[in-house]
Amino acid sequence: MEANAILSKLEKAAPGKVLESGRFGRSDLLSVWIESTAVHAFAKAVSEEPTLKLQWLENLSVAEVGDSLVVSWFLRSRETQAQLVMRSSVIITSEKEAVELASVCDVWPMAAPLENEAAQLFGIRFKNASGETIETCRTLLADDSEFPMRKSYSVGASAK
Amino acid sequence: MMHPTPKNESHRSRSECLRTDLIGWEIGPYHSSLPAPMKLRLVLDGEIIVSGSVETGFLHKGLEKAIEKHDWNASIAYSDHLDPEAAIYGELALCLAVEEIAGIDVPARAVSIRVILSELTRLSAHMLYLVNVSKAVGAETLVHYVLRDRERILDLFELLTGARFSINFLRFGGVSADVTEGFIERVLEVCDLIRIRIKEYNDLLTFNNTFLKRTAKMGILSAELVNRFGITGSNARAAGVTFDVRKAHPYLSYKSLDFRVPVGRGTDGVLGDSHDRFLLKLLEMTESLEILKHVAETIPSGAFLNRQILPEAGAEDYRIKVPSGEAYTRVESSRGMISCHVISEGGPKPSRIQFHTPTTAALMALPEVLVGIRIEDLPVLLASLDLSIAEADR
Repeated sequence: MEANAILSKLEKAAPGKVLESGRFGRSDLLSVWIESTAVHAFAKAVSEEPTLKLQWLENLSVAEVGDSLVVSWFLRSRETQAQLVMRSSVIITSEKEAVELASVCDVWPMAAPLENEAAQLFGIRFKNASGETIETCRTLLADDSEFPMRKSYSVGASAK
Repeated sequence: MMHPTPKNESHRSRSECLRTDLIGWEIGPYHSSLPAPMKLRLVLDGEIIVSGSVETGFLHKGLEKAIEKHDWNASIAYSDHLDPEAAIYGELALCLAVEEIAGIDVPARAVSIRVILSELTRLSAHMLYLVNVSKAVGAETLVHYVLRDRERILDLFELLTGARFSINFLRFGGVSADVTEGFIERVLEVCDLIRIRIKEYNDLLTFNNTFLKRTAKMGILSAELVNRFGITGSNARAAGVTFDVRKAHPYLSYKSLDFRVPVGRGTDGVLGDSHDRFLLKLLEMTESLEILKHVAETIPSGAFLNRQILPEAGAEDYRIKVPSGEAYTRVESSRGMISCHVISEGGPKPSRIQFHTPTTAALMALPEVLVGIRIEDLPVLLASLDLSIAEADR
């Protein structure tokens, strides 16, 4: 499906939610930026839109860029073959403080392990639709005061 | 990480089994029935598993952080460790992403060498899968036969790259060396050998009555679960979902190659059961042999590496610099789709390299798949799902 066609369908499914759109890197993949507060509503809209049916969350990637955590949801549909990169960012307030973002586990069940990993490694507190924090299983690190994938984390410092 | 406990408590063959009060069992993280460090929490009704949950994270290597801390030169070697049994796929996903960011054209000869390595790795990994399933059902004869034949493939890796595992052979823009003398001839020889051996494996095990009893209608992974958890690879195809990255998003020269994507049919049990997954691996091996034969016979001559972003020999600064940008690539590994998100800020080190691996999705489905099976079948189920904890706990 062409990027322009997807964009017009997005405008119909979630009017006014797309802040910015463009190509993802050098690829033909469409990438859209969403306000962090609109993530859940947008996710629900694109997964339910019958002409898109973006029901497969292929990947969830987090990267620290400047003073923000940029979250990218790589979406696709098995039925319509549509693909989309949904992106949002949250500002890091402190290197030891977690930031908050809406969970999309109820929209895409495959998001659960990806969100769990992002929570532990990047310090993102995922909240469900009723505003409660989703419990994180800290299996990767015993100490939850540092987030190892953040740039501020010093490798080896916690081994003392 | 923890995976949810299913609510479905339907049982199978209850009348044949010992029944007791419900008991809790915790297996792992280290146990001979487990494919790698992981913890299973099971609730049993006699010998039947009523519910279960999975915990992983015991093998976490901090691979992505380690890659960020080193130069681009080291990133290929690190990505080898994503899945030690199928090292090429991590390397390939990374190289394709960097080549997209830097706009590097890979020479046709290097593309063919990459396809040969990918398909040899698929054969090698699938053969290891046959070994694991055979071991789980106690078919020792096949274990020895397959391991003997797999050595021939590992010999080919050694001949080409100097290493049997962790080959660290791909480079941004191609491969690190041209094929050695006699390599192509040996690839064709091994293809002929394995083709005969597949028939032997089939005769020995696939339709053996005892093997069918252990695998048919056991550990059913339905298409609904595949879609719900985003499962890919032969686990998904055995459930009838025809998704293969080589067809859906062709990379290297797969677009021009003629090959089939086999899917499960449930002929000896139910669609998506453990037997279907085993049979599918054998069918996929046959397809890999066809690809290998064709590519080895038509390998073009020419350069094996485009040195566009590589430093000159003897340069003072030996570090690779990848231009600013980002890319997202996918490859079809022996277990399913590996995707790689690479961000470069133009410096000598990657800003972010993230991998997503097929085992993560398969682990999510495990608590649902194991409901209703007997505890004795648990090792067979785990082997049949071809889980790699190394790639999940990257």
